[in-house]
Amino acid sequence: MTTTTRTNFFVATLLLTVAILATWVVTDRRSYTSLTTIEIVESIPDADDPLANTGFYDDGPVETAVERPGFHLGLLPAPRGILDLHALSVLTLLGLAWAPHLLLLARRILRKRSAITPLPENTHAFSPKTR
Amino acid sequence: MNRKQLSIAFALFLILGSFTQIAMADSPDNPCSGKHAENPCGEKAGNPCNVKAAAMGNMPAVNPCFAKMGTVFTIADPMNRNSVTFRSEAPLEDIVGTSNEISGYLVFDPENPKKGGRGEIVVPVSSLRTGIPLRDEHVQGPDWLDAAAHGQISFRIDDVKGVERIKAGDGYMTYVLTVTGPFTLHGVSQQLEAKVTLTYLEASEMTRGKMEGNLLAARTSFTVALADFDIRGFKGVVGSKVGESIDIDVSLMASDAQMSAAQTQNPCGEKAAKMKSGR
Repeated sequence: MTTTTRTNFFVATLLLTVAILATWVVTDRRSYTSLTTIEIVESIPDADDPLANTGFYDDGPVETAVERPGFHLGLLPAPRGILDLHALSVLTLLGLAWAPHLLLLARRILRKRSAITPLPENTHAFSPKTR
Repeated sequence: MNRKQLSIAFALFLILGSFTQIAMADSPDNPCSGKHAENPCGEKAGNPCNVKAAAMGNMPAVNPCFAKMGTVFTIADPMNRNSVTFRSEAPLEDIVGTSNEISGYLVFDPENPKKGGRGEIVVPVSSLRTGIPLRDEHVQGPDWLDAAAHGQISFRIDDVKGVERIKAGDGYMTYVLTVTGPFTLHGVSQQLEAKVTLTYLEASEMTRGKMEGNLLAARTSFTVALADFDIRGFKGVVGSKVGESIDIDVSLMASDAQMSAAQTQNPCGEKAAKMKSGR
């Protein structure tokens, strides 16, 4: 891999990271990924609601729990199986994006280590044996 | 055996039969004997209402004696519009969950609310949803509510007090009252007191859009502490991700039109009817 390709790949991963974190922020910064949301919604009773003017709602808004579809990218996955959309999360996506870089980095470190293999003990560049 | 002996034997049989019926009417096993001041059917093991109610699935059996207190309104909306909402607020996470599978009954006399009332509300643990299927599994699992061992959450209303009519009009009456009784969660029962808003609606064109019959709408809110019900959860989660207390809101509508169907399911109903008629 050339240096240019490597740089481009690194920049693309950085952009992807920003996109993933932005999605997490935009979708309410939840702890766990969810595909549906249960929310408490306040609403004014409908005119055809027989309880509307009876004092049942204290003449105020009605609080109801509403289950609606809505994707929230969580920090952590919440899957039930391998092929589950709940497996998408900041952690899993960032893990996938950064995994090749970490592998490349690990390989480079290993190469460098093998290139600077220490000389056997009691030997140095100016020892009589190496001259 | 001659004819005279036969007739004496028959007369003795009739007299003994009558005594048996009289004795049965006052027996503690008779759910309508009225010997128990608090609950006319008592809590005795021999009471057929108590024994058979447990075997009837989600719908608790209505004790036939409660009909003396008022109209029996059945909670069984086929469209599942009734709701129980629970809220947990914790430093790391807020959780909102719900269930629409509510069954049970309310006994109340809207014309004479001072007579008190009874009721039972049942919610299957398996019907609780939080928006994340994996979390639902955990909630229903052995570390939390343990649906396999304790399949139902229930609230039985044993007493009604402090009845106050707050509004009334053409075809409706709204009351605020306090109910008390055992709230059972995770197999543990704790006495609970809750303020309830109750509205009685006479059957009309408008109410038919919701349900058939005269309707009784109820809503209440209360808080339960998980520790009181021996719910420990995963280590370190209660107090950080799950609140130590859970706020519960209940909103439901019951109808007296479904009572005929419920009565046919009630194993006590038939027996009580036979006892009353002396058969």
